[in-house]
Amino acid sequence: MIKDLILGFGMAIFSIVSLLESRNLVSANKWDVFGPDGFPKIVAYILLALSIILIVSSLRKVNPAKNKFSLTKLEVVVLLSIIAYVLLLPVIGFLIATALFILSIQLLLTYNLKKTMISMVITSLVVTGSVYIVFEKFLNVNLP
Amino acid sequence: MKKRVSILLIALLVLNLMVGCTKQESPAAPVETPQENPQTTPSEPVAKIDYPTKPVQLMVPWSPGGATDVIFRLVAEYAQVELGKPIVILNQAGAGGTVGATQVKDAANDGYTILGGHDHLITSYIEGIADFTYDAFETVSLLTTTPNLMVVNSKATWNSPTEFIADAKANPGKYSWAASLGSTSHYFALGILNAGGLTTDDVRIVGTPGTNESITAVLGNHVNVCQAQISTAGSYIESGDLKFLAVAHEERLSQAPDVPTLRELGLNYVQGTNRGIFVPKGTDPQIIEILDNAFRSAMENPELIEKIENLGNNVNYKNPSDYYDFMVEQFEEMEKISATISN
Amino acid sequence: MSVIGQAIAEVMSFSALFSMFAGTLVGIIAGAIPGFTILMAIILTLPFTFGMDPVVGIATMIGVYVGGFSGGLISGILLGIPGTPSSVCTVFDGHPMSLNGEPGRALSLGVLSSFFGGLIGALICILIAIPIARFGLKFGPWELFSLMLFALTLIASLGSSSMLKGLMGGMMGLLISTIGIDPIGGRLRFTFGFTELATGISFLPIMIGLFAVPQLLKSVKEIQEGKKKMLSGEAIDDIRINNSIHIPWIKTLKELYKYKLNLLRSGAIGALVGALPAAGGSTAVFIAYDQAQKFSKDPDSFGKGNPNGIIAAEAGNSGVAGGSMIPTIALGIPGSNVAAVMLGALMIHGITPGPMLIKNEPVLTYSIFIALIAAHFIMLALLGVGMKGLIRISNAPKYAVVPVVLSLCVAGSFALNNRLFDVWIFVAFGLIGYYLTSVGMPMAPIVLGLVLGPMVENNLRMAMMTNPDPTLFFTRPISLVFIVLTVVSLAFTMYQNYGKNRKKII
Repeated sequence: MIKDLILGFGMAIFSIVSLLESRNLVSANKWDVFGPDGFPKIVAYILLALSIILIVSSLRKVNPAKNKFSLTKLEVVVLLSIIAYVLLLPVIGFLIATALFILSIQLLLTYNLKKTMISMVITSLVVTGSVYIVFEKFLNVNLP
Repeated sequence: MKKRVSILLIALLVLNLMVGCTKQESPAAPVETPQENPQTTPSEPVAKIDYPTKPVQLMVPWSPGGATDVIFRLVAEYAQVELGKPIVILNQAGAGGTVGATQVKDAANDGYTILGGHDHLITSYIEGIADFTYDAFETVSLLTTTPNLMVVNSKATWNSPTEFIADAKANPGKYSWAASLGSTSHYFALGILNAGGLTTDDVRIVGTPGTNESITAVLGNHVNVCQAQISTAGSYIESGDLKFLAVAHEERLSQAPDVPTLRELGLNYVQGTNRGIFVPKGTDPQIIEILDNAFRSAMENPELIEKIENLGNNVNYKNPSDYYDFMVEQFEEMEKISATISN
Repeated sequence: MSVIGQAIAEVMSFSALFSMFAGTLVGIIAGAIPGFTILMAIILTLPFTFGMDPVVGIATMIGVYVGGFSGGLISGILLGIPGTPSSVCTVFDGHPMSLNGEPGRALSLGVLSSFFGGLIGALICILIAIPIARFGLKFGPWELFSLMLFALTLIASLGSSSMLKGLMGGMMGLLISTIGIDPIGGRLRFTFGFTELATGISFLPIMIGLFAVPQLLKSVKEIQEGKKKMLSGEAIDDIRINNSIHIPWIKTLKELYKYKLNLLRSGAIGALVGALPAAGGSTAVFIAYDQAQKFSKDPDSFGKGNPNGIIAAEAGNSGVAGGSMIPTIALGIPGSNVAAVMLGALMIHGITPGPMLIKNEPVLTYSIFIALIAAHFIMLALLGVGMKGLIRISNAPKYAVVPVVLSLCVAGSFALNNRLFDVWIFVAFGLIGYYLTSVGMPMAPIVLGLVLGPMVENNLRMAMMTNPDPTLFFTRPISLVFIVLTVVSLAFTMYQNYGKNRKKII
């Protein structure tokens, strides 16, 4: 299956990168038989081996179950909004960003715009407000 | 459609109000700094700054509940009374104190982010873990010195370091010493071994993440020796599980009068963990003075002194410039030790 | 007898009880919010306890601790997102059961298992703390490594999907755990020049990213499907879970009695593994869950809503609370990072923890025991009362749940270290998790690898540093036991999968 093939290659690349990077690590010295590079190398080799098995087996599978990795438009939008939200956090601050985020996602996802508008706005404000209060006042966390 | 827009506008308005009300506490608020006026003669007073106007964050670059964290929390409690604003502890453990120290080093030098550090600032630099050392900061106040002790399992047959050294010489490679590589406990081990004429081939150094793990290893007899303090190991001495062989201090400790100093035994080695306050480089001297005053008054408080000494630490206050000289001295000491031991 | 009496009086005093109530409530809430850990909650309670009498202070922290372990089941069962790392296993069976329309049953199973499991942990602590603690000291790096190896084999059997992918996920988790400063040598690894990575990647944002984002996006997909229906002319309501809020307490009690062996065993595993100073709570839970699956007559139903899964997971993680207090009280060695903070609190109050604690401060010690028990009752009361309300909240429309939970995760990730970087980790792993979930990789092994990674590596290296002789792993008796267990466990898993049901490897 293509999905597995991609996964296999992806993991193989990941493990190879790790192995290459570990060469930069200080190697075992006199009292550190393993060294900082020992363990990661072992794990990376195992992962590499597993990925090869996966690749091989997915090539051997004659099963043409071609379920593609599909991403609906809505999901993409939500994912992008999350990224936008986090990007905006330091710019416009937690309060505004979160309230806007909650509101806009709700707008995206709801079916009945008119019916739920008020409750959506209230939810955005209340949730943002309470999270802010709890985190800033009780926890002394300086949200952006 | 109109209804939606108007509601959104109202919402934004409300938000703005909320944001406005809270902006006063935003950490981005600038601190007044006295203007440099080239025409001012040295006898004219510089404008007094308004500090602190909000809580100060004290970064403790180790885990909460650990020996260093406890000391700074205690001191902060008393110092914040003198300072007038709360001192909030922030923990950021990692790399023997380097991670948290880096954060403060790169923080704004407005006096609202300060560091609670110790000799790790020297040792991590020498070991190559940090690319900066104590002079990346301004020193404020030295607070405490905690003498370090050599500790073994009470089932061990040695009753003094010289016995241990002799045994290790006769049986190279048999014994092990637990320490946090690159930090003061590592230097402690190296210092004593060096003074006793041993190398790390004779006694294996086992790296552990921290003092607590080293003590646990000695308790379980997986490792033979480690460095400890009254606060971390005192209870095991009392229960009879561990015994102190020696203390690396100029004189015997009042909390452990039977434990000889290394000097008495002919091993010239003194080492303690010295904890103090640092601020980012370039911080206004007035801020440093205000902080120093607050911490010095705290360290003079008899209640705090008692609590600190009960934990096995000695109050050892030094003002900013003395502290700086002290760090210079310590740096030279550590460099010497590092050079003499074959790594 | 008078010492116990005094202890009871102190803990049962109004101020102490009130404080414990507050603490437990805080703990439950903290546990329920994904992104908020019990450790964070305890650190927050610390300043409040300065002004309190030490007994009251510690009792409050115990309340937070106990509440926290149980709080995690709330979001785990209702949302499919573990509220705390130790509730990861609760999600496996708790969430499917909730999706099948029985959230009340799942919640009541979870709460009651937490209650009884926690009591078992507390009892083990009270009765045999000292001998267990002393025995725990015998666990040197060889023993701990073998134990962790045993726990790692669980990766092979966790979850019902592909074993190969599970193993790959586990390896990935192990690799990621090595990022940052190597705790023994102090050298930077895999940081690619990012100073933020020097501490390593915080485990929490990864966990919530891996679990929350795929879960929430699933809801988004459902909404998308629903929109299609809407476009075709049907008028439908916003998707919400419309689960019955009935909570079958009595029925659950009967179920627990039926599975009492699982309950007892899981609680005991939680307590005993939690008693080892180096093993964490998550390790205990995974082992308990795995054992329940192995002993079950119907192992394939695990992960689909088998009540035994919930029982094992919750009894296991609550057993850890009492278990971790064992070395803490008996020896002054913290059994968990939360216990370490408690020890710090004691030191600030001028009390020196250690083996003499029981002798020097008997009232305090007994108070801790009593507080442990009392906290569980308080937890039961609070959750019992609040349960219906919680289900009602979770029945909220999905369009609201998705953004609210996401913003909570963001806030929680930020609060961890006060930096935006962790939020980006959350986002990144959310995306990674989404991709991996859609190609059939289970998330749990990744989490397990992350959690166990440091311990496996540290112990291996410490063992070799102390004595480079590798045969020690086999000659030291306790270590040998765990190695044998590892082999047996692997063999048994293969038997369960291939012998009887011929589950696919790939």
